[in-house]
Amino acid sequence: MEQNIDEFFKRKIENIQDTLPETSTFDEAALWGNIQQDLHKPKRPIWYWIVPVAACLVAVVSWWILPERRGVSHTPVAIVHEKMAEKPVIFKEKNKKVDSKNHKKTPILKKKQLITPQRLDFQVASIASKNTEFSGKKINNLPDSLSFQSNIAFEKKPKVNFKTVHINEISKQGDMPFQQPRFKVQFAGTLFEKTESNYKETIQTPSIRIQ
Amino acid sequence: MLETQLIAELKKQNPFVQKRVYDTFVKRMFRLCVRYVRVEEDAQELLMNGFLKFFRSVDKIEYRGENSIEPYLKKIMVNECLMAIRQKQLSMISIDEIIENEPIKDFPTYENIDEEEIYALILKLPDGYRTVFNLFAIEGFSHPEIAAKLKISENTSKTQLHKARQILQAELQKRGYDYGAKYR
Repeated sequence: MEQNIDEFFKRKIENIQDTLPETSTFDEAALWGNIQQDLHKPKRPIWYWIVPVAACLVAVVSWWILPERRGVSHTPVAIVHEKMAEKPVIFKEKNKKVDSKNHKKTPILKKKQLITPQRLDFQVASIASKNTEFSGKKINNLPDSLSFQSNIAFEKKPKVNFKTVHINEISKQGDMPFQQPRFKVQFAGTLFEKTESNYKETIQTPSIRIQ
Repeated sequence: MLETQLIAELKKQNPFVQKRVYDTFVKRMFRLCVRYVRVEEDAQELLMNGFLKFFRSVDKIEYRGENSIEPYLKKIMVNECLMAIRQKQLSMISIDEIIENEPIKDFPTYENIDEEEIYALILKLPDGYRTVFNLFAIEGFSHPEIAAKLKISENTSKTQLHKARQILQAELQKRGYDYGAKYR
């Protein structure tokens, strides 16, 4: 009987395919148990996967959106590029060739580094106005954004000699018939002029200075 | 039970029918997996994955007359085995110039040769030769199909098959079966 070698091997193998080798350790029942376990394993709901992914996304997005977490301050920083001002203006002339060796290339500035001057003025002016409030007097004319510090005027107070008098001393003096002098009472930097008529109110107030 | 009924019950995930299908094909499929991966433990793992895939994708079975389940199950198992082989990065020995010999036509049948011995001979083949021999000679794939499945060239596939046949012939001769005088 003539036949192909491949067919010979195929037929021989098919004859034994429904039996296990004698030396085999294959346990059919155990494998079926494992298959059953996997088949009847409850499927995890969709939210089991969606929730952690969404949480991760929220964390990443919030980290990018909230700059405080990254330690980035909102204080405006004025970046002035000197080379911007020095940028030469090249006039094109007819029939004039530019010497490529001596010609200086203008610096290429990145878009990110440019800050509009209008924006700068606004920011610096707001800082300057805060400083004027502190000194007690407002400066009406806000200075130029880049040189505002030199123009801020601080009021110099004249030296005043105070005499400290105890409240009890004043009350004793009140009994004596003498004409009350006009005096000034200063409350925490605010100056009020007190007269004889509201004298009683004044002495009831603690921590006062009488001039 | 007719195969149509069997498929219908499988689609309903009937556990009794699943067990019946498992019992019918488990040994056959185990032999198949061992022929590819040689190690029984690996074969068991592949068998389990294959059956799980089969039971889960049973909806895709198209009834094409009797004996529709086995080819589908076999296909799943072979794919599982090939995936495992690809992960191990099967080494293929390529011989560029090879005279492709036709399989011998006057091969005498030795019915007394033990089938287990033949099976053991196939298992002894190197990985690359064994895989191509299994796919070509036993499963009946063509060289272009094998090349596509294993991501090798057709020539490499032919080379592997040629070498596998040579080794098998030599092994049979060692055992006293002188059949392949014309096959070199």
